[in-house]
Amino acid sequence: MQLSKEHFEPISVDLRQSESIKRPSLSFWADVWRRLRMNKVAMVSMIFIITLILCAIFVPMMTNNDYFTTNLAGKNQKPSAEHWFGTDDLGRDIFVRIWHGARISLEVGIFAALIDLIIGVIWGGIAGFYGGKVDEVMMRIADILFAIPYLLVVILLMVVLEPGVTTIIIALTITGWIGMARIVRGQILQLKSQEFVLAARSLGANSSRLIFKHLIPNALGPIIVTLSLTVPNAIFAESFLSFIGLGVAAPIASWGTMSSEGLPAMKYFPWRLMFPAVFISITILAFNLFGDGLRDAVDPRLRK
Amino acid sequence: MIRYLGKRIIFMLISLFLIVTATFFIMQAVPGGPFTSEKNVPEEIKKALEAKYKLDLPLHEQYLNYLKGVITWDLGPSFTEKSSTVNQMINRGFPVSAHLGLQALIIAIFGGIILGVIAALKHNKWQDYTAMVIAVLGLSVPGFILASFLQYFFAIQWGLFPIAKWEGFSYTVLPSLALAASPLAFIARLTRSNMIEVLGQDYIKTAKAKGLHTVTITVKHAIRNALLPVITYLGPLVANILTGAFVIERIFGVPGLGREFVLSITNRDYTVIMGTTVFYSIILVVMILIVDIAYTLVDPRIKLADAGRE
Repeated sequence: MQLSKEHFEPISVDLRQSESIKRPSLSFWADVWRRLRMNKVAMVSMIFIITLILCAIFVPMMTNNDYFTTNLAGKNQKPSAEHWFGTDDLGRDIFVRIWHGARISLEVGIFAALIDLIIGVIWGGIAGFYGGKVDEVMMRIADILFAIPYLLVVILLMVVLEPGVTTIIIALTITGWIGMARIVRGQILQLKSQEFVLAARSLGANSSRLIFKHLIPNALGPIIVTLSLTVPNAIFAESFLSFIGLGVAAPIASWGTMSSEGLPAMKYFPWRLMFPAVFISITILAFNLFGDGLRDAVDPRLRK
Repeated sequence: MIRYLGKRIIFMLISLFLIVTATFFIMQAVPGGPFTSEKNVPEEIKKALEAKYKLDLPLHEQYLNYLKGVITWDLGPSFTEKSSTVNQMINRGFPVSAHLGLQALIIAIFGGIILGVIAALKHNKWQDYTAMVIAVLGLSVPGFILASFLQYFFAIQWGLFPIAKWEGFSYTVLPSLALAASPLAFIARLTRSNMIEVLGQDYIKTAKAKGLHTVTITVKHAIRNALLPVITYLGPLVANILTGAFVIERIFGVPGLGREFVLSITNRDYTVIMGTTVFYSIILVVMILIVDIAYTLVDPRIKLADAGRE
């Protein structure tokens, strides 16, 4: 084949064109979402968690059975069309009780995580930002509290206070915020020597504006990851406490109390233990997997 | 070294003092005394009982007495088991708990490390995925649930192991497994991620280039370095196993201190609750100190003075 000059055409190099941005620029959170969406395990967990929340809200509203009416004539029934998960030793419908238990678990998980977040961010933020003596004193207090075994504190408080959801949340948060405070402090220490903080300071931003408008938003990634992993821990602690008889009082249904009541009857009525046990495990599993996925999405360098 | 140690011990003592004080005042805040439940006790007898247990003294004297008791390791009588003191209960229950705990500890450490090393060596192959599925399950299934399932399948359905009690080796298998599961999973994950990091380091390449055998590289160069962070986890691990034993002992009917503790909570036996809490706290705080010191001794790169900070 003969090549002649007509076959070639010079491409005009337009400098301005080459500098234009072809793709939409992604914000940090859009990028996190893009990475999270690719992680199938995390997405399945997220869908499970959303379903769980919706069911916990709506199922108890829609069924005819309630969680506390006893019916001794129909006790220890097998799972059937009427009672999907069977009934317990007082004839209460296990399906409805599971969703009431879900409400309690989610309440405890979410509120404990939120309170940890608030205290931890303020404490760690102040300690990290001011540094020096303030940091030393604040973190020493945290260290000393942290040395006290967490479940022992929780158990002691539960012995003294009225049993109930609020008490569980108080007991869980009394030492639970320390992990969050440490993470926030570490982040703030790292961030505060960067130039944008200096810039903001030279523009006249005061300390609280620096902490809450500049430093904390930049530390949000690790904060949210810690938050998402606090939830399963709180759910676990609630079921543990209820299981040893320190959680919510009867007749309120909690997954822990339901397992505890189902345990002695395991041989003859295994479903009474099986359903709450499976729900606790899968819920904690889903939160853990979602938290792991979120961690990888927020900071891909951490993926291992 | 000595300055660091002194500082750590002072903080440890402060923590312990806070725990003792907190437990004392928390227990004082409980409405009703230990004798309120006794029916129709005449006022005089109640007074005499309170005098016997020194409950008629003003609060600060009771507090000082209790502190003195803790220092001289005399934790007082039990209010529900009239014949025994808290010291006796600890002496009776703790050896059993320690036996169970040690067995679980060994399973968790060896099982976890083996699982983690296999997963790291076969990174992104099926062995890795299987090991990580086991690890995630171990972390997510609470110990008391796992214990119930082990009991249901291994004891009730298949009859391989006795269902409860504590009368010989076969009785210890299921509780140890149930107790070891979640720390095992945690150690496996930790080992795996450290191993993967270490295997990517230059000195591993050097070792390979020297022509060393893979086994030698893994055992001599990789595992030793990958295990360092695992040592830091040993402190929380002991805490995990001790507190985990509360329910495991209850489920399997093991006559250990954990079950004693849970029973004392149900019975509202305040001196036992206080005594065992103090006892557990001392063990845990001391364990964490020992682990920190061991860590700095094992890894020469860490200077003690910095280890106190983060």
